[in-house]
Amino acid sequence: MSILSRRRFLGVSAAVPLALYGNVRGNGPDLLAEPAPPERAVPDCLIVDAGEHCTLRESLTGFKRGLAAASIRFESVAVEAVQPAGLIVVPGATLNSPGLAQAMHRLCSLGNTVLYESGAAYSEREAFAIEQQQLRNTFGLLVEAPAELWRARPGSNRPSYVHYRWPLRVMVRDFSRIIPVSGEASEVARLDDLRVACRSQVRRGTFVFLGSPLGPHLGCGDPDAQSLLKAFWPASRSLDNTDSP
Amino acid sequence: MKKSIGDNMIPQGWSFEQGLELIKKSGYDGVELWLGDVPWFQMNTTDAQVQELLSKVGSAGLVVSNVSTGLHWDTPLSARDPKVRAQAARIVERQLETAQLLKTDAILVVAGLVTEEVPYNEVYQRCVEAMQSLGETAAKAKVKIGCENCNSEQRFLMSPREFQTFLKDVDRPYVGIHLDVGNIHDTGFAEQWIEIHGPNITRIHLKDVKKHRGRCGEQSVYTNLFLGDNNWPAIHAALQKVGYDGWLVAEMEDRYHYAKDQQFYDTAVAIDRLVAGRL
Repeated sequence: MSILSRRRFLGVSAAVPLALYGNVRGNGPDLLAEPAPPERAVPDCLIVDAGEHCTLRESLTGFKRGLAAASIRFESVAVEAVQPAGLIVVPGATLNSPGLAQAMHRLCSLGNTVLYESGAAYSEREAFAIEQQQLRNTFGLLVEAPAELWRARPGSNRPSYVHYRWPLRVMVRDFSRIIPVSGEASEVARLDDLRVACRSQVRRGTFVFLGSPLGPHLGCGDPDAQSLLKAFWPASRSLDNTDSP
Repeated sequence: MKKSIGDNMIPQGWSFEQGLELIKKSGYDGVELWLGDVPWFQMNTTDAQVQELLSKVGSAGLVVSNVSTGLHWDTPLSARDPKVRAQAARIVERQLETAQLLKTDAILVVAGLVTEEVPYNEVYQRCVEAMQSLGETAAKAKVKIGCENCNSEQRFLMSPREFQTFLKDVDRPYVGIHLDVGNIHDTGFAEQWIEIHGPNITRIHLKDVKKHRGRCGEQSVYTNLFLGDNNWPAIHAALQKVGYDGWLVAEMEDRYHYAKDQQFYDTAVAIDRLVAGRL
């Protein structure tokens, strides 16, 4: 009789619910290979509708349009129904409850890439404060209060551009408000001297934080935003949890 | 065609009733009510108070030609902030509700505002979506939404063909154009807008314009009928060609330094001559 070590037992326990969906990225222990569960393809991409926590609904629509335009197969699901996928996108949300943050952390831990686009700059101050706390406690990210780009620079009369450096070097127009972010994470994008997007390793997966909304630009067909989204998809597959720049 | 003028033209300090009396005496058939622009008609004006307004309009021998608003300049349907957009939609809904109460079948909406901050593509997308949704509400209310062409100030839908494409993209029978012949400035010719939009015109705003783009405070390019650069015989002919028989609504700026009520009389006579083609 073989005896499971504590570590191996915990690994099996954690993987069991996901095994129901088959072909989990990061692959579970061999013990799960037999008997084979019914095949259910892991979707290329999941769009998570955060319901009442989705502050920017147009961002949700925008990501769907962008994915459809890029011919990336996606499913739209509620937070409770999130399952492993090639790329998991949470558009325009505010982390004002622990449930969503924990769900995203769990998915990252299991080897998924979660792209979280914050809509908290458009939520109430109290809700933002909770998001700030959740990001710090769950992902070790330090976010500052939203900056109003156009009011902060009266008379400047020019758009500012978010300079993405990963997974593609591209400039996307600002969306009036940004959430600066710092912490132990690799830079994804910057606006002037502020880091507004980053990615961090969470166990076997990756958490990408976008502090400047991308979805609305996708919704109105911005070609650079579209290129960026198309680049996120293969990047999320090749990451396999190496955090190279 | 019937003549109307906005209640926002009523001289400051005059009551609504005094204004209605002036409008009637100067020869108009109806009055355009401006939600949010006059003290008697605000977002918090109750249904009962709106019905009182209708009663006063009726007592003056007039009817309400349409419900307009300038509130969307500060609260645009194209705003990035979803809370602002929700409020903007609520304003349109209130216009539709009050139009029903006031027994008219058209409202005016400034559909979107292109700014340095909020670029054209975003504004277009949001306005199409907003109008598709509000167009459904309008159909239920049987009140048409007329999106106004505010070409130079709105920096949106600058040509008649582009406006036509917008309406096709919206694709709702209860969404049309509230055509302002004074808003075209030097970007085109009012008579061509009339020809292109014909049956989609919900109401027509009348004023004249100097063919210089934009405005600059008191140096406004807008002026009284026949004092500007519009080709009024061509406008008359285009109205005849498309068979427009609806409301002509005077929307002037306050240009009279003295005897402000005289602007009502002069404008009414000018509209009569436009309708008769005595130009």
